Amino acid sequence: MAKTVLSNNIIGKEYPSIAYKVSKRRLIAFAKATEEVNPIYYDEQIARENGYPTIIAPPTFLTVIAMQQDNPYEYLDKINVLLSSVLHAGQQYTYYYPVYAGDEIKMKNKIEDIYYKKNGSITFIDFRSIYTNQNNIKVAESVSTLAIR
Amino acid sequence: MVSDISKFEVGDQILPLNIELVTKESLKRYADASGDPNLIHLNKEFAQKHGLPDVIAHGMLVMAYLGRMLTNTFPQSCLKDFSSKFISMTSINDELSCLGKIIERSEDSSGNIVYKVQLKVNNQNNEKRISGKASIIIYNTI
Repeated sequence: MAKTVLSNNIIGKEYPSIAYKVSKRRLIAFAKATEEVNPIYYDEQIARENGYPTIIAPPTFLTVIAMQQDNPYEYLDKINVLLSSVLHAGQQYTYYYPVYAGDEIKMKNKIEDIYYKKNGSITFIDFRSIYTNQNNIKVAESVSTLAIR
Repeated sequence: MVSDISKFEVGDQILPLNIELVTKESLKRYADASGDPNLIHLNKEFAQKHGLPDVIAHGMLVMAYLGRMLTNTFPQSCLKDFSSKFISMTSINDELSCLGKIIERSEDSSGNIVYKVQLKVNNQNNEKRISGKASIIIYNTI
């Protein structure tokens, strides 16, 4: 028996979208925190010299967007899941278009699936997010899998 | 190491990336930069209250290191899919190796080369932290 049983009714649940303007400062801090040494990720001039309009968001940067809210874990509260019982089990990205400093990204998030493993002792939830920019171009999609103990 | 990115063959390794040491400071920096307030990455007492010996690294920090390994070899515009399974928790004092191996090479009808890359992150005791994959496309520029 799973310790956490979630209603299948919440499959398909959509969350309000989150808007976030990608700031240069945030990109530079992210590059520093990930020990990035390739200057196209933190030095605007070098990014331009390499053919980019400005500094570019690295592959996992989109994860930052979900955190740009007063309570980044409200999406768990809303389905009565305790943050302390959650582990990040997997993350998947598909990329369609680059993200640059100054872009205004809108993230739309929904619960895609709920399933159980290890005889039902671990509950998994897949959240699918779609990211679009200010020109309404889809830049990426992601699936984030959380394991609930 | 292969220098022309269109010349990788199945079985080739791509240039690995080593992270010397995961420290409390690395986690604090990543928490600030990403905006993730989860105390399990920041506060030892909190982590211990939840049955862990100490704080653990953000899975997404370790995936970011893996992403760096990929973009060190391939321009980011080549990256189409990138996924990670977080196999075990990354601890402070872990020394990480990010590794990638070409497991498939094909050419599409437009002459673009498509690679499937198998990814992993291990620590110094060969404990697997991440197992992942990526799809890379090298556009035919002729």
